[in-house]
Amino acid sequence: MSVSTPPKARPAAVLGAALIAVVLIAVAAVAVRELVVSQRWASGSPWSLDAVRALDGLTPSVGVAAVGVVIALLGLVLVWVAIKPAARTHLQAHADGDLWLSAPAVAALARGVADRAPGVISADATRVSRRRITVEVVTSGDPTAVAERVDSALQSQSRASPGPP
Amino acid sequence: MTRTLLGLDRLLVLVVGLALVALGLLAVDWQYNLVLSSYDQTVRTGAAEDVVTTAWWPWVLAVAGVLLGLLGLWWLLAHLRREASSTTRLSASDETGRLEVDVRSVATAAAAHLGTIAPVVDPSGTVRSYGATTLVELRGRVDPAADVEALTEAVATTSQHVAAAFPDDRVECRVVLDAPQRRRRGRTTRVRVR
Repeated sequence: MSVSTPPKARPAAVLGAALIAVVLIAVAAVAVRELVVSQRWASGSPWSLDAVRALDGLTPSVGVAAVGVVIALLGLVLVWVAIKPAARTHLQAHADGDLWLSAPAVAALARGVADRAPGVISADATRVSRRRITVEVVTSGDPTAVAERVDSALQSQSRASPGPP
Repeated sequence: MTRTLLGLDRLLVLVVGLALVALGLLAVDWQYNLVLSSYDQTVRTGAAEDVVTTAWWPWVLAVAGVLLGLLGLWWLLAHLRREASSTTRLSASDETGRLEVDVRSVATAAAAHLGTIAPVVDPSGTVRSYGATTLVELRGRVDPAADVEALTEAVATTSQHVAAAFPDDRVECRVVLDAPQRRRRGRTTRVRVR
């Protein structure tokens, strides 16, 4: 059986869950503070009582609705984070082994191949995406001829690259 | 991080998200009565205040809060734990004895070997489980001057070595490569010659 799952980034849900865990720890700190203050081990007023009194007499208003919209939007963000699939981080190479390369890694290889082509003074991968990588070269000779040589070098080395250079 | 933990992460975030959406929509509907109109027009917290001012409330709140805090701490630490056992049993095991191999050690050795034969820097090895299949995952960064054919040949050789070590096909090898680290701009090496 071959493992078909590609390398993926850590899902956003992990970060969301970690934030919720931090909120739970913060709740614990507040709860302990309430105990400390209520037993007069430290000075201060209990926040839970203040919060309950602040809510007393609350009536519907545009402000409450606006807060509700913000809370609902935050909830929608969390729902999206929960169901969002993990992003694929690497592209599979056409090689004998199970080789995966990130797009910047493919760009680095392409830049190196172009840089070693005859007539090239310097090369740089300027645009890098999962579908297309643009390599710009500086040449001292005929740009068309050098471009052909660079293209030829990239094509000959592209057996291991995930897509056309 | 296990798939079970990731599933629980998604479930937790989904439940909290849906709860917030419901709370937010309730607040909006309280004002505009779009769905329901039988809301009390004023919030009365007298009963809640009676509870909050009792002698036992701070203790109950503290115990519940600490339990929730411990749950949050456990949740965070669970993400730092390694996946369970990285050993795999060899097919030569029988009633006279079991033969088990620590695949993580194999991954470390394979990564070090890959670093010597391939234009790869900072090689490292880890182990992942996909059902009954164990995946030896080798990671590293491509050398900026790497020759593509040399790279693919080295990856194929390393994969063949791992496959030869585990002929029952339950252990596979994968190589995952990232870009070389960028050099920081503006940092130059100065050499003083006297």
